[in-house]
Amino acid sequence: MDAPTAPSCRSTGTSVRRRGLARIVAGKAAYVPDQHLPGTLDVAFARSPVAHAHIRSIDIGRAAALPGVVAVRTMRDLPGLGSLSSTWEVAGQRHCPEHALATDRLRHVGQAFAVVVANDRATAERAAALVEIDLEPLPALLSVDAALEPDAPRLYPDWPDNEAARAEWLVGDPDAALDGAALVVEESFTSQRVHPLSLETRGILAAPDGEGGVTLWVSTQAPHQVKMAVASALGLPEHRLRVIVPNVGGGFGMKAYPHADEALLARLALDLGRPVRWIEDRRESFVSSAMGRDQRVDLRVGFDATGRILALDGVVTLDKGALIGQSSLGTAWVGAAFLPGGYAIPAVRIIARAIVTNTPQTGAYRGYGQPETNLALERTLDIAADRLGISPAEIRQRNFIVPAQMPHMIATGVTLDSGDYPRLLDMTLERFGYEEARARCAAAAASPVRRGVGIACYIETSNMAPSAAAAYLGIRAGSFDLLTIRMEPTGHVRIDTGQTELGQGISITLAQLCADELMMPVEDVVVAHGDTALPAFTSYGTAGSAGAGVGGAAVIKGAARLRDKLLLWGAHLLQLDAAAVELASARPLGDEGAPRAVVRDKADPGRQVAVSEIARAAYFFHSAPDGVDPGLEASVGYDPPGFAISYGAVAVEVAVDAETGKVAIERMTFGHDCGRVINPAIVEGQISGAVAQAIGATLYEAARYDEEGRPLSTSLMDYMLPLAADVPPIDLVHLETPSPLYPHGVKGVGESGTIAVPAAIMNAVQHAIGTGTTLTALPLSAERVWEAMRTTAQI
Amino acid sequence: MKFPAFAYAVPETIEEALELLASDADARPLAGGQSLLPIMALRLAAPSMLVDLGRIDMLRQCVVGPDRMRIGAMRTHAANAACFDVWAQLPLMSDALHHVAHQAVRNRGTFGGSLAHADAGAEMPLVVSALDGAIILRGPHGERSVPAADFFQGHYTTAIEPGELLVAVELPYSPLQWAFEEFARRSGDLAVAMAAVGVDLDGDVCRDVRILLGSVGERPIRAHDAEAFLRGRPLTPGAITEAGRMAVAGVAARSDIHADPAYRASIAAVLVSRALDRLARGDF
Repeated sequence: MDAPTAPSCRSTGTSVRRRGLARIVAGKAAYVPDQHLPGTLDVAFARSPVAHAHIRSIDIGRAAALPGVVAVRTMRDLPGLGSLSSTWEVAGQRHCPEHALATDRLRHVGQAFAVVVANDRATAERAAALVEIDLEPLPALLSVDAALEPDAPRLYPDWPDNEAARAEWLVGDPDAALDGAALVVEESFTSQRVHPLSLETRGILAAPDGEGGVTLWVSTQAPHQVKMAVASALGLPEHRLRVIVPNVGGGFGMKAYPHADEALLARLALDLGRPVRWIEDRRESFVSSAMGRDQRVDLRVGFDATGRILALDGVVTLDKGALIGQSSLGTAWVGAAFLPGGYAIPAVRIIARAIVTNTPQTGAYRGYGQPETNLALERTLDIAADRLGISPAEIRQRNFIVPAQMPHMIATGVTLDSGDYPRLLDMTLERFGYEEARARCAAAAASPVRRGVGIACYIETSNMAPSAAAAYLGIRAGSFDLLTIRMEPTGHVRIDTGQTELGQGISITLAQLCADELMMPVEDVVVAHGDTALPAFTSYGTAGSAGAGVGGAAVIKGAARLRDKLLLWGAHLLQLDAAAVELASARPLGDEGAPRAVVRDKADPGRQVAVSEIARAAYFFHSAPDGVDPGLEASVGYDPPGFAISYGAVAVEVAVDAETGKVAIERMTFGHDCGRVINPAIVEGQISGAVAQAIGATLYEAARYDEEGRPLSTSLMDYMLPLAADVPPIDLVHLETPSPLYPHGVKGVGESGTIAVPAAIMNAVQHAIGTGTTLTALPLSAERVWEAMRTTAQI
Repeated sequence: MKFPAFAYAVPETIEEALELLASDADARPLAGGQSLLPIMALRLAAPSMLVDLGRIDMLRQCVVGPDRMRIGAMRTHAANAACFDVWAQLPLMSDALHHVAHQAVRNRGTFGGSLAHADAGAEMPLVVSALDGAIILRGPHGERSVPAADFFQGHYTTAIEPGELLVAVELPYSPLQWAFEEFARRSGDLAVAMAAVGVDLDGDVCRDVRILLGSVGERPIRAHDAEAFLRGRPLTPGAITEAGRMAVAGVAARSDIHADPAYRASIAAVLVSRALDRLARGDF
């Protein structure tokens, strides 16, 4: 006899500890380089020394003759190896098939033109340096401005110019509205190129399976997309390929798409009949993986005398680098579509365009275009507030879309699903002590250490649009998740998900949702991931802040289906009608142990059968409900119904050394609403990590090139990531408005921390140094701030 | 990237090390490896042999004399930072050691290794120059002592001849009060600029002064004009600002991705003034 009801064992909303953390911290987690297969050969690439040139000839003779070298290949030696097409394909987009090795032209320093396979990496590197290339130099276009000159040489001779893709939005009559505006702010805002820099670089191990197929171990966010792309490039049927993702040391979008080198490694493994491995080193990661940001936003915004926005006219220009395969126009498109933010803007014209240059490719990086356009609009609001004599908080409050208007489609067609933007800003500023802080700053106006306060608000796209809308956006993938949930004969549950664990904690998040749905302890649920041989599929990859939203909703759908089966079985065992039973969490009478899941008679809760007993019965199948298959398993697909839009407000206080320009971020209050929170510790971790990256991109980081197009930073000695001491404590303010579109109310949170932090810091620094020189460009290095203060002083 | 192939030797005496260096013109001493090994990993250097000095006990000796200290080349930054005698007799060095990279690097990086590497942005060359130290070099034909002013010749360039080994540094105890100031982009980075300033004050009047700038030029720069200006003058706020300005006047500051020359010089002037200000306030 059991007690009728046990205390709730809900795990969502609690910070359940992630599994395997101790292994990661102890250095025992196994990444791609830790996969050891006997007879593995190492790969290194010969890379372009110049930014732009015709290839006259390549001589592999000396490299191939080096003892220890097994093979040297150029594209010519790899007939039939196909190219990758772009993961985004907007209307009118131009094409440049992406080969693993350059064929006739080199378009950026570091572009690979030959591959060496050797017994060890040191030998492969030595041989790569011996590959000789005869070049005919071409003029290099190292900036968007150079590439846009009317008579600029073209990177791709079959294109009419250097514009790879473009998209436009036009709503209302922005020209007329700007003409009639009381104030027009016009500025050009630049977010510099940065390196997404996951601490684990990319890596690939490819091994022939002995039956004509290949197994790949890849550090990626998108194993199913890698499988599709490799199969297509090799002309192999997909069931001959298996992609395994072991532990991943961060991806940040840079690992969200397939790469041509993954197909090349698979091909080499097949050709040579041995496992081959390429582990990207830090230095080559500055040329062989996609960089982030690198957008300029030219913006004109018109206001009435009270600070209400009348119209917005903007051009988002993305420096795409030399190739477009890594998401093409994607970051500029999303940046443009989300440029209006959470504000009501009646008339809008926005152009997004991607321009090719002779620099390494840019692509997805946490934030995906949104930080760049957020910087432009949130800086513009501060500039307008200053000119109109109202406070930065007030100008935002006057323009917010309010809860009564939700759901609300903004001018660019994005629908804001839910939220209370004005209230969250108020809550954030109250916690921060906004008015007191501004008074304190005014008092420091002439002191050697100036103080400034800055705020910025953001919206964040998450959970992906429905697959049908992905087609409209030009994404060459769907948005859905397929997964399988199986209850084992002991009553424990295993989820097979297509989502990838990158260190962000998606597995425990999914386990929590499933455990609650089945009223089980979370310890009884395990999550298997990172293997395309699992009965699961994630169409877009683990990106776009969609893991908890889409992957989680799929888990809820699968768990619900499994629960229905449990009820059928429970009713059968209790000899009741299925409608007469319910799933519950109960503790055996007189037992102090953990509650367990039971199916019980609604009318007589004491009549019950434990789920573990049901599981055993389902796997014995000696007696079964009518029409039920053996076992307990549910496979489901879930296509997201629409974007869930997270949002938030950031307030920072900075100290600026008036003599050196050095900016210290003294404190930050971060208010956010990501809908229902499943695991607070993971949400906080996502925000803190993203804020650290945003601080890096705001104050320190810059991927720059010399006048020949060679990268100036190629190691962590000269590429300045923020250190622990550079990241202040972050005070989080939570507001939970569940997304009405999702069964669990979840909005994504993975990118929130990156979006408004640059604008908030720039607004704060501007506040600290006064308005003589308008800050518009990142990063705010000490030197740039010093320069701005010096110019201001001379005015 | 992976190291190019090299031979590796671990001598136990200085003589053995000198013989190994003499046997191979492309051999390089390994003295902590905090700069050499990354450079090799990037394939920017490819010595044929590394002569690891880590097992030569003699190179870790520290001799505390009545008016000077002789510090073995293989003493780590961490050992020097934890050394009572260094703290008591060479406070400038003690202060500057806090700015040397991070603890993990200080645990392995050595005093002699840093001086022989002579990175313009490193702290120890500036300290040795400020204290007018002497670098002891041992070669096949014996030992010689080179004053710091002659030893540091440029970024990565010193007076060490092929076949010679930096074995120790002699640092005289300074009668001046010293202040050390550094500006780096992040804590632990190589300096954008630094200043070592020593004064002998009579009340607030500067009886003697010594000012050296680090990371501004290719090697430590002594600011003679600013020193001459301050001698005999009270350390007023105006004099302090002027001395900073004079310290960088006419200096051709170097440029790298972290700072252009004008900014670097401006920072150096600020650091000199801040050091003087601290000294005037007795905050050292």
